[in-house]
Amino acid sequence: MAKSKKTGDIVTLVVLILMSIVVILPVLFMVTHSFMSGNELTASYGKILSSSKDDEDDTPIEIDAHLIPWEPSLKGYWDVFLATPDYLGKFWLSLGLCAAITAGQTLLACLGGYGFAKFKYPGKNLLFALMVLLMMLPLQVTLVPNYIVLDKLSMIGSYSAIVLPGICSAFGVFLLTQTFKSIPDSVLEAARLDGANQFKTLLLVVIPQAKAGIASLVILNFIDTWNMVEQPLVFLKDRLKYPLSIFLSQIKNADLSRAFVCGILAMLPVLLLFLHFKDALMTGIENSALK
Amino acid sequence: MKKRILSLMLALALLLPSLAGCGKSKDPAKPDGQTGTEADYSWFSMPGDTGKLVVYTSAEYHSLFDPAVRIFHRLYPEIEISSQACGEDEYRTLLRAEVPAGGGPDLVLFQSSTFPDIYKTMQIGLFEDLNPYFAVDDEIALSEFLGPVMDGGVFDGERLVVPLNYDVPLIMTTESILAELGMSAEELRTCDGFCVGAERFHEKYPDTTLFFDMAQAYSPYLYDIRTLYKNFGFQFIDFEAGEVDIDEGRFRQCMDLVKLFYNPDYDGSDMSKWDIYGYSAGEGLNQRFFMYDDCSAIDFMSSNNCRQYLNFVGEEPVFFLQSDQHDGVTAEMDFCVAIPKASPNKAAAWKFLKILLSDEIQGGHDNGYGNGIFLQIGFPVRLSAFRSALDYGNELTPVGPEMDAFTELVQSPTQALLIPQVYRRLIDEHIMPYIRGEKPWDDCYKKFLGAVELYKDE
Amino acid sequence: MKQHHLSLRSKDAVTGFLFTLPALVGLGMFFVVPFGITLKMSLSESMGSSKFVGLKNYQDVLKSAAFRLAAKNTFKFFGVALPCILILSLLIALLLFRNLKKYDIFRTFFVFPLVLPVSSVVLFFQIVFSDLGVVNGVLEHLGMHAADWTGEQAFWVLLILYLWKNTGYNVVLFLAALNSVPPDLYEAAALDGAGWWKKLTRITLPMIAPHTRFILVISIVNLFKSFREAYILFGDHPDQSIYMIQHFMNNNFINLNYIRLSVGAALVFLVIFALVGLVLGLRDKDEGGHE
Repeated sequence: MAKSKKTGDIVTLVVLILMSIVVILPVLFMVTHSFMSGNELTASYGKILSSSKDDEDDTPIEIDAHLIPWEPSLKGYWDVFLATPDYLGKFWLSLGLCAAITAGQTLLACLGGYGFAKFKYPGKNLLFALMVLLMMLPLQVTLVPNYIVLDKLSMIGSYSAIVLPGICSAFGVFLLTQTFKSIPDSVLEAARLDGANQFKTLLLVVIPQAKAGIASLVILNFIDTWNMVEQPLVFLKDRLKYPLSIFLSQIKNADLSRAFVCGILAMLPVLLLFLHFKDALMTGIENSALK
Repeated sequence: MKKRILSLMLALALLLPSLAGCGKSKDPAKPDGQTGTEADYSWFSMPGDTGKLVVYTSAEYHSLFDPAVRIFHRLYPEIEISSQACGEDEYRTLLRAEVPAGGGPDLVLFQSSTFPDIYKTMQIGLFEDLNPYFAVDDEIALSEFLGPVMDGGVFDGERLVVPLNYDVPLIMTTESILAELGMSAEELRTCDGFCVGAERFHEKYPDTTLFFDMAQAYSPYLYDIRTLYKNFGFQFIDFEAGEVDIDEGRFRQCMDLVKLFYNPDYDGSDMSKWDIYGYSAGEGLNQRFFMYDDCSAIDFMSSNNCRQYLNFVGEEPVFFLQSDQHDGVTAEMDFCVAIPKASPNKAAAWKFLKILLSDEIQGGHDNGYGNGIFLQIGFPVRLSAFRSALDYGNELTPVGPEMDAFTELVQSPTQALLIPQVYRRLIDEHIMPYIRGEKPWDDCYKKFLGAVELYKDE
Repeated sequence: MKQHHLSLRSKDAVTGFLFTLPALVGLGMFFVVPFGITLKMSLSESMGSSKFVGLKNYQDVLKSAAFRLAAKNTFKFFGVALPCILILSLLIALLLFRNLKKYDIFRTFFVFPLVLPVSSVVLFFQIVFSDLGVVNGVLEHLGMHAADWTGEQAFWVLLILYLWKNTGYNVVLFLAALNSVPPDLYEAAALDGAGWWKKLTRITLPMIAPHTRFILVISIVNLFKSFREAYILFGDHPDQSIYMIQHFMNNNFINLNYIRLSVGAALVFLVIFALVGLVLGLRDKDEGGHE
């Protein structure tokens, strides 16, 4: 019995390690490749990556994929960070936009989630279902009508055209509704009996118990807003106002070393945020496991 | 509650197709296409001035836009012009989101890379019909422009798009090569004749590509396929009739030609193979049947390379345009302009369009890049601007009678198209096995046809 | 499920509504109104005229072979991808759940793919799956035929991409779900001599069913997002086996045909409405049983 558990553990471990490799490899790949020089990258992948866009002259030449740079170089980083003076400004701008959107959406989602999860009113389920659906509308569909609406509201060209629709996304409400639902009503009732009003209950009882869900929301929302390209392009219409994501997306495969570095830069803040919230993301699990 | 919603949805889902069936009416009566005859536009009055004009420009268009904006300032100082410079992707994304929303620029400048398929875009009624403008405005007349090319922008009788310049499949060869083939230049000027000539050439020089082009020396297959299906004048889909329109015989003829010259072992990086001066190998000299420059016929005329080659051979060039499937000549439109129906400043947009069509722009100008021609690709649609566009800044352009003959030649297209890139991908995907000799024609063509049908339906 | 009757006081209905109000207003402004505009366009004659033509456009689109193919492929992809991701992530979650503390590091790894920006993911997949890419190199090395990963096999590339990117997050959600199962249930079952399989099917799966539905909805949302990678990787007109609704919509978007795009969106909306309605409807029945 004990022995079979042991072999089971080993098998589990092997499977998990293999899966981790599959999952981590691309990330590792991006990191090591960001240290390769442009020449090395072109020599190795030029044939696939540069021709894939314009479908021209793809004479078959072998590619040479490798993880360890032949001669590590910081040129890519130099090019992106230092040769592009407005990079840092854009970085902070993007961070600000993301922070505003994420904070706003979390607030709205906490309120909405609480309402949807812990109350009943006529038509609630219909509204909730509608919301879930709206969440799935692809960008191409919403872009044009959103432009019309924002234009009517005279918001085109201002940051509110990005921030407000970003805040009012259905995903957060959906996620937190689901999270809040798993908090037992008895806990809420206890708080109410202690004389706490609804806001206090939400703030002091519900939210602390829903750390995992809120952490998920913050991370996922940040990823989305950090990487958005079309909305700022269309709704801001002013180069000076564009966030970093547009700048990063415009670096094409033609310039491979910069493309990799930009991938890293786009990833870094999200990664840091993720590592920061990692524990919170998992707290829900440990908390209830302790009980 | 839930049940009610669900049944409601199901009912809707069921209802929809049947309702769609009910709405089966024949196509709404379209205004008869004004084929040739003068239409009456007396009902039309020019939109009023608003004192404003919004234009966008991206890197591809700067050399054309900037001078036009300067001229506009000079001619209409009272109109406030706001021009926004964009990146390439940005330009496309902005247009795609704003024009359907009724915003965006008052005048849209585009190429096939901007809207992948202008025929699909023309179909949807976003653009203003410019026929009445041409009819009512005394300062401009359609007769000042090359008709067959201008009509490339007409859809269902409406002039939705105005091309600014065009390119033709201009081909250069020499009398000695013609003698070798046993054909006259006249004989080459039909679709069938051209194919016969090409086949004979291939028999003589099996290792050589059909066309030569400096910029495209690397992969002869890609080069031939791209120019050939365009030169043959296939439109693939007739959007006015809403059906696929391919003459299978002609299409096969075209693809057979590609197949004939397809050579997977061709190494374009081998300089000696495409050394047209023949400096390195004297005997390689005559191994060029047709010279053809896809990227700029003007450059081609004045090109040092071709001239040097001919001087070296000691022959005068023989020019002709490759015939399309109907034995006419199909030109390719390049820069195009349209005015969105929703634009509030149509009057100013029309003024701007007239500048783009004026001698000053069409005839070449100092674009600030040390290069006099804005129309770096192809030829201007304005007839009177042709000569000066060709002369501008070029020392090597031909003169005298040679020039007259050349002018007449390149102004002889019978239709103009702007064929989307997608067909090349479809040919690559479906006809390639035939070209490689792996699958019979019928299988490949059937698949290709299916893919075109699908594309039409999208 | 948990006891909901505590929050059934009638005053609460108003409070609940007020909590959800900000989210609803925001959604209304930036999603419902735009979608209304989309619907109106789908019933209009053309982009240039808003003349009402009834369902003519719907008739056109439903008749279109391209739309039918896209719908068929999308259903097919949903049918394969959704069970795959649910089973895979549940399995991994069960593995990890054997010893949460020990396997903590893997949990972190599995969420990594979320962090990578779209462009980097695409870059990596191009290198791995292009004609001359890594996978084909390995296959040829093993004496097997190189496959056309951008052609007939593109379906699988897309599936792998989706699984790779989204399994990790689903695992985290499943872990939370597994934790919500009271341990004493397992102890009781163990006393009854229930085996591993019996515990899974009799206790675990029924207990986490509401969570599973939530994860399903999240997976659908992510599936829609993954099409973005699809058309960056395979172009506007990919192999016919992976021509999906999103391609149909995107191609109409880039040719400015907003009418057809709207019709497509409305039809998709209707179908998802039915699907999500079904999922949420089932859940309501569950809850109803406890009230």
